Amino acid sequence: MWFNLFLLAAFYLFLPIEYVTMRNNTVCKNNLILSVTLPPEARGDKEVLDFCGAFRKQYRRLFWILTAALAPCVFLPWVSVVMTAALVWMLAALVLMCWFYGKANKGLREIKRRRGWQTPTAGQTVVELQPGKLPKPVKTGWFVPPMILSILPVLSCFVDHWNSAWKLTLAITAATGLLVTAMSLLCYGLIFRQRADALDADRDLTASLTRVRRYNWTKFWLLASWLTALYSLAVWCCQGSWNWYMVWTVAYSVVLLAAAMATEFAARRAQQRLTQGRTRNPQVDEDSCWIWGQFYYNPNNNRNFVNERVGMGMSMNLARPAGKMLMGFSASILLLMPLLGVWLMAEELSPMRLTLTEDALVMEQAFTDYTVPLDQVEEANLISQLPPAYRTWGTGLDNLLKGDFSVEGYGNAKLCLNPNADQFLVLKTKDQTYIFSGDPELLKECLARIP
Amino acid sequence: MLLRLDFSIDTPIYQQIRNQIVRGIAAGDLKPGDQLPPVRTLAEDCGVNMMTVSKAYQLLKQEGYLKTDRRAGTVVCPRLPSSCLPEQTRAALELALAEAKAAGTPLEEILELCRKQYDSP
Repeated sequence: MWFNLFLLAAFYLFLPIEYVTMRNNTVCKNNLILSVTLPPEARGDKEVLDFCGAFRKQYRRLFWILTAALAPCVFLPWVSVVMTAALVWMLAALVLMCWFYGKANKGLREIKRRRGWQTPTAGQTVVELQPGKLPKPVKTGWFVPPMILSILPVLSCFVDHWNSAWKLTLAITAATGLLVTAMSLLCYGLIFRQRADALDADRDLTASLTRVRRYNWTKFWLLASWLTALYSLAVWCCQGSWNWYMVWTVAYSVVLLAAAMATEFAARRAQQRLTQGRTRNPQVDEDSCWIWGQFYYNPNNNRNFVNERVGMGMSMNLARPAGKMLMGFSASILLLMPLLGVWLMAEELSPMRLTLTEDALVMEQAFTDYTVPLDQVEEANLISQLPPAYRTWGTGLDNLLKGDFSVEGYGNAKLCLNPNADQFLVLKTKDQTYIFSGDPELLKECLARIP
Repeated sequence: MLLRLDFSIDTPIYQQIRNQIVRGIAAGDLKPGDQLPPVRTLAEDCGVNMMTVSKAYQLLKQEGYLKTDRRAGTVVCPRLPSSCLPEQTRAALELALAEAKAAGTPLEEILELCRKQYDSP
């Protein structure tokens, strides 16, 4: 149950983040409410305020319904079923949250149209020609130390003699860390190629809003870069301790997420402060380029990335081929995720079949089978206690260990067994060690047949 | 100064950029010596091809509104020394006035428009 709780918490995390972020859009900043550009008189209008209030209420209800829908999964007995349910839930939650927000955006745009709050420049591209003094990019030198620190654990995979299970984990973690620090360096520079955040002809405001965005964006990527480097080093220093590995991974994820949220909301708060109570009419209105107020689609803009309208982030231009491909790829991953759960269910719930033929012992489970020719077995014995085994590659569930493992006292071995079984058959061939579990009578018969 | 590009009208983008910079200079939003963004920056900001912005800048340089300074980049030129209209502008103005007359626009309306344009800071 604790494992289920941990797994579901990891999936659930996106919901409060999405909820808080979207709900925050009902507060006016950058002339926008629910991603709709409104003139000053509309922002305090009773109809708009009531509409936002109703949206907040509905959105809160949806949030609690989605939370309640996930809760029963904690009590499911199979990890694979919990995983499948969580994946399907996440997909449904994502679509529902987006759809609800999109519906609200459409509703407010309709009110805007009906009340004649159209901006004269609606649909036009508006650019500040002289945005004033803007901040210069942070020196890239600040990103170099984390890059170097992230390279060290990667190099150690080639030099040090870790056990194979740990080596694979360290290699994957260290390579990902290096990728993230490199990506931080690339991503932070992107913001300085985006246009200034103009709302009207007030150049001071444009400069301030641009500074807010660039400062927070840079701060986040710098933090991400250093945090990732420290995490890679911490994992490297674990020296193969899986408990410490888990502790550092959870700590890293939580701190990184907190940093992302803190910088995003710092940017939003500053934008709200800077634009609150303004009486100038907006001269930038790109509502028609934002589908559901969330997805940017503008065939007249040849940029792949554009600034989000509030906060510090960026969005893809879905009218560009690169944007289409990236969106298609992300959507495919999301849609195919439940299949991962189906595969896991087949792994966990398919029975193990151990059969003895004329000349070989065959173990079959789900999509895997191991055939051990009896004449190649050099040593065979039955053990009643499974030694500690660390997964290198394969499946590790409460009732199934399958794949390549590093087993204490046996070295690298191929396992296909239920760790709760009473007896295990160990077979050693010239190249490989196999450990299976199965019907005790059959195991004994196998042992007798070994020449 | 805000630059507004409308992709739904027939006027080419380079022409829109050129026209608005001229209007900006006339209205005093762009003063002599003011620096304009480099071609690449403005093209990225507007999300258009660099050639489009380059064409607009070239046109403005030919017409004497902009000049390239070795250190400051592209800057607004000081007011033209001669108060005479360039031949091309004169021809365009004559054509516009002829069109207005043919359309039956009263002279007072045209004069009012001229006054408004000249009186703006």
